[in-house]
Amino acid sequence: MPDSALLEISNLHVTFAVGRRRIPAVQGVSLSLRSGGVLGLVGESGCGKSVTSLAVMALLEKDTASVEGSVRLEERELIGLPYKEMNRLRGSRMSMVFQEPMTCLNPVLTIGQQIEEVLQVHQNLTKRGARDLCVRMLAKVGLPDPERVAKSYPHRLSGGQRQRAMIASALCCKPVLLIADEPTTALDVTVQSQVLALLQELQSELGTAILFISHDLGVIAQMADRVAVMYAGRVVEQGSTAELYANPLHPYTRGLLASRTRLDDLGSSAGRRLPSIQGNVPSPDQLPEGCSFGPRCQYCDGRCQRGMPELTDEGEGHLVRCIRAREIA
Amino acid sequence: MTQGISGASITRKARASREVYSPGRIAWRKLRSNKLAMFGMIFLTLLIIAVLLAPVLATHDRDAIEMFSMDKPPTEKFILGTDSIGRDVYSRLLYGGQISLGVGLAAVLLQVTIGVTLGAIAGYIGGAADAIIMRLVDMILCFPFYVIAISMAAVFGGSALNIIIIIGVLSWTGVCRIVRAQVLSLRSREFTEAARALGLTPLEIIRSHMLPNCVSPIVVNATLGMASAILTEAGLSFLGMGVTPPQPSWGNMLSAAQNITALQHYWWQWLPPGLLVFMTVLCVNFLGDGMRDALDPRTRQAKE
Amino acid sequence: MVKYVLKRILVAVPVFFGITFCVFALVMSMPGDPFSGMLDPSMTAEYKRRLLEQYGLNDPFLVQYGKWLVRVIHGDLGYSTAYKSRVLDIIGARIGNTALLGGVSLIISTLIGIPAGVSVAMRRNSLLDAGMTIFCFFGVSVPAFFMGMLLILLFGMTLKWLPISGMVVAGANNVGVAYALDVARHMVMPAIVLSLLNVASFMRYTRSSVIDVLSQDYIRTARSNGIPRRSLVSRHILKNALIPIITVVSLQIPSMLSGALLTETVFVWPGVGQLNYQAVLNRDYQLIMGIVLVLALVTLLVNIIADICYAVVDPRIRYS
Repeated sequence: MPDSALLEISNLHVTFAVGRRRIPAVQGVSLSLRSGGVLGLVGESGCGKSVTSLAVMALLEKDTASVEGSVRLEERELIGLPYKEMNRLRGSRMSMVFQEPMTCLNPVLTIGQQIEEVLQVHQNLTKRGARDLCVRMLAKVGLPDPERVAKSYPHRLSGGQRQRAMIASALCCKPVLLIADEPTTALDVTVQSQVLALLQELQSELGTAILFISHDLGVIAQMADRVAVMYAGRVVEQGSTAELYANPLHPYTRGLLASRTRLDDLGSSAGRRLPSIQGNVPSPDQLPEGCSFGPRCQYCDGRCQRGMPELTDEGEGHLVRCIRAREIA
Repeated sequence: MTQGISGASITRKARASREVYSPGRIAWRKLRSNKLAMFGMIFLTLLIIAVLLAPVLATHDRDAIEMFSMDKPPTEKFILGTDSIGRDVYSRLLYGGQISLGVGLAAVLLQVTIGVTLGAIAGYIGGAADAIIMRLVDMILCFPFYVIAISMAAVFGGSALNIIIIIGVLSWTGVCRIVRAQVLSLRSREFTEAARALGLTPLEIIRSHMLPNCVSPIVVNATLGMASAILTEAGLSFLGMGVTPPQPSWGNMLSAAQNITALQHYWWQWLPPGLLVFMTVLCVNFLGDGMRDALDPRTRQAKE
Repeated sequence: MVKYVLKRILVAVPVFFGITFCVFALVMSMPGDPFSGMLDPSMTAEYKRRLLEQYGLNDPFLVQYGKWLVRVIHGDLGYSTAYKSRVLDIIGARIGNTALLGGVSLIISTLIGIPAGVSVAMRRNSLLDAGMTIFCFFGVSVPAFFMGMLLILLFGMTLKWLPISGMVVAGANNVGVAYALDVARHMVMPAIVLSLLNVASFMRYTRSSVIDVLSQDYIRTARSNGIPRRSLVSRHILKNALIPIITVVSLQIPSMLSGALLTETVFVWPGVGQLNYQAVLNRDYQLIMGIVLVLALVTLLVNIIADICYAVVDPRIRYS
């Protein structure tokens, strides 16, 4: 492991205030991402993975969400950074691609206007320089006729094209970190694989590190070199992709992996039900006592309810938050 | 053992949350936590009670004239003084409230009836009927409200009934659009097909399957419509084109202030009805706005 | 775009006929025959009878409507018995005053209401927001004439700062700047009354429109790209939020013309609204219907223009 990571999240807590209630959405998440690496963040919806990424980008509403802990990008603390300085980093050193390409682009500005503005804000470019760079960027993300695309309004483009345009705007200033939050979930399957391939290609070309968020283990396996599994606001297991997929330790990770449909299963398991995890992710304000996965866990016993297990290293950076991980392995 | 306990506590929590999240209850809880809406509701309730009890609470006969007590300031005998021909202002305010609130309510009922009927026809039948009704809506929206209302009042004569009809006929467009949109979006859905296959008549389908879906926007629209109906009645009666004396309404009592002497020296003749119109409309608006927030599924999601 | 404009005008055609038909039906239901007002009252009874026959008083209803409409299109809106003059001329003499009062208060309320709405939307749930919300409720709930009378009592009678009625000091015969100042002094109170309601409704609409835009995904995208606050507000938020506000402002024009009736009457402002009230008092039916027709057609025109503006601003319509 390199001694200084590009992105170092440690003990991040995010609490939402809704009326008088306080809802802990992220509780003590620590992650690190090396320069040029791809960290996959996986979990069911509502487990806090998107909130984590929004906290890193300081995109949470200040009056409803309180963020504590530390987020360091290139050794610079981001939590508590003034708005203006944060804005200088966003879009230039770190940027983000979101899930919904249909709604994430401004409908009343052309694609060109939106990308050129990012370029002009962060780089000392003339209007023409920004325009040229924008068109080159649109060509780079594989959009045909980039000149025309630049002059188009978002509603004229297809979902896949818009997501390519989103990627172009996120990467136009060559950031060191890209956060991709379910970037392909809303796309058709064929388009999905094209966009993933594009991301991989750009990642290796620009050397951008990616924090890749998805609920889809298959996509994560394809993209990431390390994986962190989140459940109910906490990281429950973390390790290199190969190790974690081959040797899942946490019952939740096992459940996730078991509930995937696999092509080669379909023949042999005809008539058998696809294994699934019982129950739902608990609401963050109604967490059970002890291990929050307890109520859904087939291995849960009295010890699991005495307190939240610690994240422990089971060797070679494979971390797991389960006191019975060794026993049930 | 421990598992059993935790299981029970989870189901208890689940049950509790199910109770809390029933839509009607959330709406009511949100409305109750809205201070302005609650203030409006309490004020209006008290006002309605007072106005209904007018025969009991009034100290004088509605139209009784005290020959030598014109323009008298408030005294023990006349709590809010007398008007220019010696009638008790306080008693007339109570009876005037019956007219003002009654006209508002009746006008709203009329506009909802017209709006629901035409909206349902436009949405369900579609085609030419829809085109005609929607152009009718466009047309009515082109007439400046007071201008057409006062002109209609001039042609048909001013009276409480005519005011109700004028407001009703000119204000149904909002409800009509709501109902039309809802019926239109539900018409092509499977359950409508199924209901039709079961032999339900269009009327039954609309009444039992479509209208329940737009009750909340209609209620909100009607409440806010009531506020403007009360304002309209007051405005027309103020101009002498509405409720005609001796029948009192807050609007025609206010027209006392058109007299410069009364405006300057006899505040008790016009300030109380003016404040009552203002407070009533304000409270209806508070309530209507609160109901919109409470019933709007978007804000419900955002806040829960 | 051209197709959209043509379509919009095409939709307005039946509305035009509907409006004129409604007014004609009202004309027909008025006391007296609908054409007597269109004739010069000084002519002899025999000549009048011949003319009426020529105008086709005995024709079927729709034929009468057709003939009436043809005259209306030629600018013949009838003859006012009270003013002894052509209806169109009387309205023409007054409409400028209404446009002046209405225009000034539309500008005032836009300049106050929209920026105020934006700024409270950006500070949602603050004390300022709560205070402004209450102010808006007051603004839409206070009867215009009541408000007008309170102002007259306070500024006109008690403090004696402002004139309480009319548009100019009677008999002053000011010209140039003095005239403009005189008119301005007379306009202060009616403009305040007429603007109050609009400021309140513009502010409410702007606030909810901006809040709606703020929660949109593309605003989050812009923030994630480090767009500075100023550009965020002016380019990304306002451009989207103002599109629905165009409709609101244009829809406010008929309600302004309507509110002008009460306001002009209270302040005796010599505009079309006050003329309408006078006409109603005088039972001057030709004039009443002329005013209704003119104001309705003005509104129809404004709505068409607003829809076209909307299309110009919103690329989703412009290019479809």
